[in-house]
Amino acid sequence: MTKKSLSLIVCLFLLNAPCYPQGEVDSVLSYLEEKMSVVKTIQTDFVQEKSLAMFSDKIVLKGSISIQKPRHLSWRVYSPMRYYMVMALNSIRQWDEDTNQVQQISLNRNPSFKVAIEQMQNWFSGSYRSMLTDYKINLLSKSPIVLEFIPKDNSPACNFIERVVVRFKGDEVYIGNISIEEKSKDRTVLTFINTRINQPIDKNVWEVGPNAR
Amino acid sequence: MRVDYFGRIYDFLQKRKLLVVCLIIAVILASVIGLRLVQYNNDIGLMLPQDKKVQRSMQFLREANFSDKLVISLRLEDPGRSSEDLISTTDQFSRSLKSPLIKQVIANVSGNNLISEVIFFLEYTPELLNQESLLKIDKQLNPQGIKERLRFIYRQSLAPGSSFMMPFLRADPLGASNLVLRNIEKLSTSLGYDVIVRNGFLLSRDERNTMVIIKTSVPITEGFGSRKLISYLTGKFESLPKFIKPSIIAGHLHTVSNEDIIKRDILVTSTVAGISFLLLFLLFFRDARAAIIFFMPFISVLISINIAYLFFRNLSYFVIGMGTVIAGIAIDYGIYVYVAVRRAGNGINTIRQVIRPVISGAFTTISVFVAFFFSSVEGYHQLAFFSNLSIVLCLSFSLLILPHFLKRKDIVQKNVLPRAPRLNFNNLSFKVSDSARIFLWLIFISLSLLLSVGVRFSNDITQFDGTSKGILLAEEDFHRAWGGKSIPAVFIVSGKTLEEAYQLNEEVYLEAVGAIGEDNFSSLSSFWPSKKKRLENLLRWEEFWSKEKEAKFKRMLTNYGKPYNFSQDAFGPFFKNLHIAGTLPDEPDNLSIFSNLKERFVIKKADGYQIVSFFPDNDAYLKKLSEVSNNYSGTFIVSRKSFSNLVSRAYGREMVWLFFLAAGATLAFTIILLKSFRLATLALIPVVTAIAIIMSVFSVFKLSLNAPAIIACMVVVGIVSDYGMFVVYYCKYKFKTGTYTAVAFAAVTTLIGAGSLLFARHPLLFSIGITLSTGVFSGYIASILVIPPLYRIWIKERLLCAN
Repeated sequence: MTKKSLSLIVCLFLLNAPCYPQGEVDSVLSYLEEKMSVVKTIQTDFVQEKSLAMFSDKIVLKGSISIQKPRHLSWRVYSPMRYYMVMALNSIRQWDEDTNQVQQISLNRNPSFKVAIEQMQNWFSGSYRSMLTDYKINLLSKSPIVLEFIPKDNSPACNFIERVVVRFKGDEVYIGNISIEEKSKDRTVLTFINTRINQPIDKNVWEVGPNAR
Repeated sequence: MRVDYFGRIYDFLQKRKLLVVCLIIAVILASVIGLRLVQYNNDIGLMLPQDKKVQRSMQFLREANFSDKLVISLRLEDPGRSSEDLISTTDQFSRSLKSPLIKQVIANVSGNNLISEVIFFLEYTPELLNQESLLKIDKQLNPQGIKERLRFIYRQSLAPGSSFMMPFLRADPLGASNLVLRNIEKLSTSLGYDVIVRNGFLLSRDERNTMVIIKTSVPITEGFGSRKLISYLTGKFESLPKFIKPSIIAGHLHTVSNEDIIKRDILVTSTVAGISFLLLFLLFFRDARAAIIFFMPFISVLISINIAYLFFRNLSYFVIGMGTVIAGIAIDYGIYVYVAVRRAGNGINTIRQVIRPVISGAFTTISVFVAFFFSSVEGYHQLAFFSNLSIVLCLSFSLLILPHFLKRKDIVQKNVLPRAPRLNFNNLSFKVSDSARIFLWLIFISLSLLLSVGVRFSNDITQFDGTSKGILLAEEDFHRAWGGKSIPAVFIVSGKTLEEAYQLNEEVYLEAVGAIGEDNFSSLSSFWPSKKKRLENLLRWEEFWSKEKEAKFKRMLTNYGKPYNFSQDAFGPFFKNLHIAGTLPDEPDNLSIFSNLKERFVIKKADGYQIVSFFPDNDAYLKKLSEVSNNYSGTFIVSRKSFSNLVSRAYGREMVWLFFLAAGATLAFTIILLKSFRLATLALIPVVTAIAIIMSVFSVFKLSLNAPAIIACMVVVGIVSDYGMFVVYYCKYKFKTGTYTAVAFAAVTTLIGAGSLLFARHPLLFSIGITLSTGVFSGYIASILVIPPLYRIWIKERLLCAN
């Protein structure tokens, strides 16, 4: 099969992908926002598969995420290497078992890092309406809900992200997985498992260092 | 044989009164029409000394890149609205700005290619890294160093949000360009504003404000253009939704506000003074013709503005603001003549009796203003010309024209003498002996001089700024939202060519960093050296990255990267660009990240280039960097603090010289005109008293003595020396021309003129008002309370003894 005919098939396939009118996108975003507005805490385990041009094989990370509104995020990786990151308001503390050192970063002094972290928090917490400034949002499926985010020109994300696809679980309680396609052709899929909503969060989650769990 | 020119002119005019009236009306009409064509200037430079350093700083501030910019801050007022609403409104608003006065509107800083631009810029790294940086790289090129670096890269890939790091890590596995990246970030934020970029728009940290930057063709000091521009923008604000509160932050707004305040001050002071003058004349003199005295100074001022404009083409608002004061001074001569004619008729003999003291008084006042011609401040030249012309015109009207319209017959028929306040303290019911009066005066003067010790001089340049409170509050709000309140000082290097300026900037940078530290000196040199230096760096880089070293590095990356599964092409971008630098354009002007920084730091001038660097404006750094500047010709520093000091020093030199010149001229004229040292000493008693009281009032009320207040002191010297002169003349000749009444009226009218300045909002006019009111009042009191007893004790008794 020639390259040309392969491209044609891919295009036809893409044309067949359902795309809903803007009104429906808005109503889905409002529905999700309303659903997420009662959510104060989220705890979930995750598996992250990274296909990066820099590495020959996929990198598979396993860990957990805890979110407490407003602006508290804990990202913990248990394998292949222990790495903890806690964001509270405008500062970040991180630790990894390799260096065994706690590093504090001010987000105000690291605007690029701040953009990345804030975007990540937006994906996880479901505040998609606020992302309309930076992204064009398409509704790819209504059941289960699948949203596609394409960075707008001039948004910070447009420098490196091609598109992001967020797939909700069938019960629409929380996200099933997030797929991030980058301009560099790198690709990341983050799958959430064992998600708990509005459950009390162990204080230890907000700690970083070798003794933190 | 002496020719009586005055008598001839007086008679000539008496016979042609109608012609004179017609001529005066014609001149007034022409002046009123001319007034509409006069252009005023609010440029602070007109009021600054021609000191080389002061003028150089002013010129820099006028020509600097930031002087053609306005900032518009749009604030989201409704808590229910989101930053998306704010951004969309900002977008619509900025697109709607279309005017010939606006060169460019920057609302959206294109972040589209930011990362790719930075990566492209990093291709210049070989030209930017010096020997020290290469040594650091060399230390990493061993198994241990490479292992550590690869482990670091691997760790980075585990962090959330690592996507934006990947392109940099692939292009620069050794982190060699970290310094370059840090410097770009440092320079980008060196203006000190706390800004976040959302969708390309500039937002404040709380995401409740957006910023729109406007580049204009209107110079900051141009009142007319500034008004048009501000008016255009405020018109555009009307189309904004209710939940948005706009504000403009710009020097242009200060120009317009200063103009408005001075115009309002001129209107208010003229109205207050005008009404007070009219009431005073009509109530006390009860003669409609007294209104002529009132109109004479205003006509003189009106004509003088036109003539002064023809000479200078560029009249300072400050000078025009002094109009009511000049009117208050110039009216005195009309009063003396009026009172004399009312008392003794309008015959030439009456005029001859007052002509000497009136001309003497005018000469001493003129001599004070003449001293201003020796100043280097252009505004003072205008003040001297304008004031002296007004005084000469008013003097001529008073002596040559006024008497013809005040007929003796009228006065005799009505048998009305001026019901002016008879402030002759010799007629008080309680008698105080002459010695006691002089003793009390000496004690009073001594006390005043003692109190004057605490007087302080203010050199703050902002006192010249009378901008309204509303604008200052808006600026406060702006700084609360955006930060950046402390304005940095600027270190400027000049060169005939850009390369010459770059090289000098480089030399200065090294010394400046040594003096105040790298973090405190934001210089273009920290990330973009001269071409000469870049070529040196590039040669060193090529020599460093030999074929062998490159192959060795590649091998180490492959071997030590295996445990982490790094791909074969993991660091391909680095090797691809390793030797590309020499083929790149000389300067990456096509990259907005570079051109924006260059525009901020490099100023293209007609005769070459200036490169600016920024540092915190504090005394310690100013001192250290002034020493650096002294070592390099073609460099200088502009800072708000040092500018104030420069102006203060230049003013200090001017003021001392001018004050002594004016005081000396007054003293010399007084001695020459009175032909007696003793009489001259008596005539100067009001001067000494006025100066002592002004100083003590400034000290007691903790007011700062500024340059305009010192000028006002000099004017006081001219005014109160007149009072002294008149009272001394009266003591000597006892002419029945109503001297005390005339002096009282002269003082009251001058106090009205000066006192009306107390209603002024502009700080300078207010300061002048305080000085003049205090000085004239105390000088008047001294002239009628102290001169007569001193004359009786010191001169009359001596004459009696001599007889």
